[in-house]
Parts: sequence; C-alpha cells; structure tokens
Amino acid sequence: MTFVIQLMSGLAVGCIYGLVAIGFSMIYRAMGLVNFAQADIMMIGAFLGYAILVAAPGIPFWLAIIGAMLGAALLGFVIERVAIRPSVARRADQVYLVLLTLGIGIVLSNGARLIWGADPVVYPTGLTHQTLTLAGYPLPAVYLYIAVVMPALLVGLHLFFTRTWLGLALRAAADDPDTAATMGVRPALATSVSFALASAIGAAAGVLYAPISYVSFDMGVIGVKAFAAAVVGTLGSIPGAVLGGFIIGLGETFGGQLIATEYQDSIAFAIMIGILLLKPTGLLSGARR
Amino acid sequence: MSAAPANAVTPAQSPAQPGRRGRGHRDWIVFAVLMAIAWLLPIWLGGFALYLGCVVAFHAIAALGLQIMVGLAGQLSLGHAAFLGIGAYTTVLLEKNFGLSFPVACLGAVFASALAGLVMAQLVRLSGIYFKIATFGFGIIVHQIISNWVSLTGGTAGVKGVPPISFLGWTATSRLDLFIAEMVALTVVYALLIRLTHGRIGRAFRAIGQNEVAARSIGVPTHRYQIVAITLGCAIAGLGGSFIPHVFRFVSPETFTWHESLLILIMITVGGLGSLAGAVIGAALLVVLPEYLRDFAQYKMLAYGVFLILALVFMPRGIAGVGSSLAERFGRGRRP
Repeated sequence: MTFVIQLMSGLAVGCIYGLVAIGFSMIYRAMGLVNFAQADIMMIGAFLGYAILVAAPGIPFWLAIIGAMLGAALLGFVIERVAIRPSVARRADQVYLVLLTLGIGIVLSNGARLIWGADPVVYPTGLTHQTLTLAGYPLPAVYLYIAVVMPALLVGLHLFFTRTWLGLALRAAADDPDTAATMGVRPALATSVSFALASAIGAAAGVLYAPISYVSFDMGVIGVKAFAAAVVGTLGSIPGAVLGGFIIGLGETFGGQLIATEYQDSIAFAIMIGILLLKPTGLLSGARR
Repeated sequence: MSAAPANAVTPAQSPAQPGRRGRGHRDWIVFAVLMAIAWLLPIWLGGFALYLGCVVAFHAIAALGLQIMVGLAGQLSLGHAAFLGIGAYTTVLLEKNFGLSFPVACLGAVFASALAGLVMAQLVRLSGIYFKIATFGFGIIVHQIISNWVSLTGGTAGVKGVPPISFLGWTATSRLDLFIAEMVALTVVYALLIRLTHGRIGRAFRAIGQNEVAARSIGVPTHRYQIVAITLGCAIAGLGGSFIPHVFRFVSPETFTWHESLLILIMITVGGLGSLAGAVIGAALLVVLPEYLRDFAQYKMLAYGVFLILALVFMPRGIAGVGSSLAERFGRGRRP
C-alpha cells in the first residue's frame, strides 16, 4: 500500500524535477549557460499561478498554468535581453556567467519575498486538499494534472523541435550559430526564445508543484534538485532531463524512506555524485541529443 | 615557507617576465595598507566596530581561500560554507569534548576541512560545469549532516557554551583579544598567499584558471594543481571557520547554508575575481554595509543580489580591478 503511494509520489516529484531540468538543459544547449536562476523562475511561476487564482477565484487550474507560463516566458525573455545577453555577447568567463545567474536568482527570490511576503502561501483552490482514489489508493488530485501536463508538454516540445520552423531554427542556432545565421536564423532571437520557453516550462512545474506543498520565496531550493536531475541525464539532453528527474525523484523518495527522510536532499545529490563518478558527463552522454 | 613578508618582497622571477617585480611590490604595498586599516580601524573605533571586525576577519580568511580556488585556479565552488562548517564544528567539538586548546583544535579543523576538500577534489575529473554542481551537492550534504547528526552536533539547536580561546596560558577574555587572534591568522594567511601567487604554484594556478587545456599542453599537471588549489582553499576555509564559534559564542547549522556559500562568492566577485586584496575588501564591504543598513534588513539579500549583478556588469574585475586601473593611470601620469 505505502509502496504504491511512495512510488506515485516519487514519480510526481520526478516529473516536476524533470520539467525544471528540461528548462535548464534547453538554456544550456542554446547558449552554453548554466542558469542557476531556473529554480527561482519556477518559484516565480508558482507565485504567478497563486496571483491568478487569487485575482480570479474559480478559474480553472489549467488556465492558471497557462497564465503563469505566459508571465514567466515574458520574464525570461526580459532577463535574457537585459542581464544575460550583454555578458554572453562579450564572451564572459563561465565563472562570471554562473555568478550572474546566481545574482539574478537572488534578486528574483527576494523580489518575490517583497511582493508576496516571507510566509508560505497555499493555493486557494480545492485542488490543494482534494484526493482521488486510484485502485484503492488515495492520491492528491493534482497528480492527475501532472500526469496529463507532463506528457503533453513533452509531445508539444518534440513536435515544436522537429516540425516547426522556429523549433528547427532554435536547434540549428544551438548546434552551429554561425551556419544558422547564414541561413537567416538570428542567433540572438534564438537564445531569447529558448530562454522564454525554458522559463515557461519552469513556471508550469512551479504551478503543478504548488498544490503538493506550498509556495514561498525560498522554494527555489526544491528546484535546485532539478540541477541534479539535468546533470544525471546529461546537460543539454531533454530525454536525459526527464530520465534524470525520475531517477532523482524516485531515488530520494525511496532512499529517504530507507535511510531517513531528513537526508532526502543529500540522497538526491549523493545519487548524482555517484552517477557522475561512473559516467562523468551523465547517463545519456553517448546518445544522440 | 617562512612568514617573513617584509624581507620577501621580491619573489623569484624569471627574466622572461619583466614587470613582475613592479606588480610584486604593489601587492605588498596594498597588503600593508589593507592590513594597517584592518588592524587599526576596529581597535580605534571599538565596541560594535570591533565585533564587526571579528566577523569581517573570519569571512576574509574564508574569502581568501575561495579566491585561490575560484579567482586564481578557476575551480568554482558552490559549497564553500560546508568547509567553514566543518572547521567550526571540528574546533568547537575538539575544545568541548576533548578539552584541547584552541591552536590544537584549530589545526584539527584545518586538517578536517583539508581532508574533506581533498575528497571533493577527487571530482575534478568531471568537466567544468559538472564539477560546479557537484560542489553544490557537497555543500548540501555537509549541511544536512550537521543539521541531523544530533548526537554529535546538537542538530539545529546548535552548540552552546563555547570555551574562550586559550594559548599557552594566555586566554582571550575580551573581544579585543579575539580580534587580535583572528587578525594574526588573517595577516599570516594573506602574506603566505601573496608569496604563493608570486611563485611557481601561483603561476600554475593562474594558467589553469585562464585556460586549462593550454596549461596542460605546456606541461602543467593540471589535475594535480587543481586538487592542490581546492584542498588549499578548503583548508583555509576551515581555519576561518574555526573562529566562528568564538565570535558568535554559539554555532548552529544555520550559519552554513547555501546562502553563506553565496555570500562568500559575492565577496570575492565584488572585490574582484583573482585579487587577494579584493577578497579582503569584498569581505569587509559585505559584512559592514548591511549592518549600517539595518532598517532595510528585509532588503538585505535583494541588495546582495543587485550588488552582485551590478558588480559583474559594471566592474568585471571588481573593486580591486577598478583600483588597479586607477593606480595604473595615476602611475602613467607620473612616469610618462
């Protein structure tokens, strides 16, 4: 009984990690940047969802997801243009770029604290407490949304990257910016769009995660484990991000159960370090990206 | 390496590098000025300034260690607070549980941090970014162990009743004594690191920091030097950490969170990546400034973040960089 509930909760959390990790990987692939603000963008997304649910009580949950995604996409676009672009353009050092995204993360989380306060908030929607019974197991109703949104986003991303001009252009610009530029893809626009898209996916993860726990300015710490997920599955690989998400989500859930739940975060990172020692660039490093 | 900074002004230099003498001299002049201010200002002002001086001193030590790792050797660590924590807890536990005197406990702390650093350094064979995220994970793991190993560390309640620093019959009873003890450590570490950066090891660190592949191609054993840089940086953090229980008279896991790691990173960045003087200036700035902006405490982290971004965008070489380009302009004006 508890095994199934643990399994489901591990899978659900794994989906959240996977979604944030996808954003992380996309930005890494598009501009070689490790965006430590990604987890904070997820937090902003969760708050945007909260703001929408407060402003328009009774609004369907999926609309809140879409609203938060749009808001976060805009935010990501602006951040890329204002803060990151100038530094990438002058080929700044990696250490420098990491610190820059860390700074953006600090500003985002403390900005959120000023706007929404230091105390955690709970989504004012029935979904927070609702459970549904699946084959005799009571599970949070939001799992259903996760189970629908996650595959939908993955299919959508796959179609976007393989069937649309913009998606193909983004991939081209990521793999070879100079050649892509001669084909009429503006590399600058490509990175902005990638950043916006990654932010939107992060926001979706935040809104989906919120009903399982709470929303607060420092919940970005949760999203940090998405880094571990992205790294486990090889940075830059979207299937890898999903795989890594499940490994970290399930690993910390069952590992926490076996050892001690206080050590969940440690277990997540220990799994990551262990995998990296065996495969220094992640599980899918040999695979075609 | 003897601690005779005054006689050691001229580092070993090769004829292929003209102008090193000038830079070497300037490093020592900056050292003298900075240390004079750091020693005298808090003592002269006394009271709260002296307490701030104590807080600045251990941060400056830790920042110097991180500067060697990050600014010089280019090994970004996102878990530096872990090593401060290992140093702090090792010191206080050796003092309380084994009744060791501070210098012995402090040595133990440095040793423990260096050992942990050596363990983390085994991850250098991971390529760049994978290593950075691994250091982050390392920080989280150490913090969780400190928080949850209640029988050893007292868990989140922390350790109280820290005995005063004592050394060969001398006991640091007042805050001034503590400050002096810290400043001796800071001055010695700073001087030794200046010597290190002027020597062969420092050049190797810089070569790795600027271009690891190029450094390897000219025969620098990069992995070995990376491991040395990381272990050294962590050991120095342990030394800084060993003062923390004495400054706060209390130690709890809350001091060693991810925020502390970030704070030290911001210190060396605002001060100027790669500059030892910058590490000290950054530490002083980021400890003192928020204290005088107490009314805006809720904006503290926000201000740190904005500060970091502005520093990166407008002065990529930090305060030290601005200072040295001013000095260059001034120097050129004098000697056309």
